[in-house]
Amino acid sequence: MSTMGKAGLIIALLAAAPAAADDAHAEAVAHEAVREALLERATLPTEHGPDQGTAQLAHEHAARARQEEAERAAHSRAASHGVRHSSEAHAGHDGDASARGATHGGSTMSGSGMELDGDCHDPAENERTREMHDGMPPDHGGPHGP
Amino acid sequence: MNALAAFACALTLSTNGAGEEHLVSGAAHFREGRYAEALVEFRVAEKLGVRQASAYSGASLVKLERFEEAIEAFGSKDGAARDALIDYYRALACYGARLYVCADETLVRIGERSGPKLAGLAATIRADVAAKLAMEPTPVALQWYATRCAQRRSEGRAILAQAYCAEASALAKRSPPKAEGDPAGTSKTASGDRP
Repeated sequence: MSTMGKAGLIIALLAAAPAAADDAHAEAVAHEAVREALLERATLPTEHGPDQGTAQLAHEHAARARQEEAERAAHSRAASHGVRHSSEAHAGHDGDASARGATHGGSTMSGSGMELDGDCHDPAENERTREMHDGMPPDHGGPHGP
Repeated sequence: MNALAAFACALTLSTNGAGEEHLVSGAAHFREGRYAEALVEFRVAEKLGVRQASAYSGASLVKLERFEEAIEAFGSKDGAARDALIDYYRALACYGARLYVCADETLVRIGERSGPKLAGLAATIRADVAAKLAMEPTPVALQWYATRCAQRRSEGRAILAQAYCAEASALAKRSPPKAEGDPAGTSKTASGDRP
């Protein structure tokens, strides 16, 4: 290395040394600030929202259980009404529309997944399909979900 | 080393000084719950070469519930520095991504290295994870992890793929031996036939 090169090296190092010390201190302060923020905001994962937390999975599971229960009840009613309609038809007492509405409790059967012919459709089918297409395994995917 | 190298060294230190400003700004955002803004700042610091900035980005991603990205930001578990605070956020990322074995292994490492707050949080999550892992993993669940592993690998996301495959492998070891006459291991487990 030439004399000029050595001199340049010394000058550069002398110039850099105090700056490096200052930067090291500033760096430590900055990291400490971040760590304090991270610690302050450290919480349990239950705060995490939809689609991931156990609480959400439990909620989805409960909702599905309620839906399945409703489906079973609807299916049961449809079967019962189907039998009644069949008897009435055979007896020649298949009444007017208002009477038929009363038989069905005045509800819109298709809205509850049933048709007037007594067929029972699974209103949850679309939802299940969406879940599977979302890349999730049946019943919420995680190995230990509810 | 010559004068040019020394100058480059000084320039790098100066650049890191700029990175530190972004760290401080990111910390302020994080403290106020503005995690998207914090993420931007930490990403910039990361680009400027600030050490650990990637881990800080990971913590922000955890708060934003972008768990898979967070796992990638934390990087490979094996080469990671042992830092209880960062490990805690890493465990949250694993938990959020349903990588429960990963979460548990990470929380174990926190142990005595943390203060009372982190230790308490870690213990609570470990209890929750333990309850989940107490159930036998089903074939459906194992398949889900294997599929995720393959998907992430095909997307070139090696760290995630490794995480899912490792989870599948760890869970498979917890599975009961396959029943005779049931080579696919499809017999129902104690927890039913759901994952």
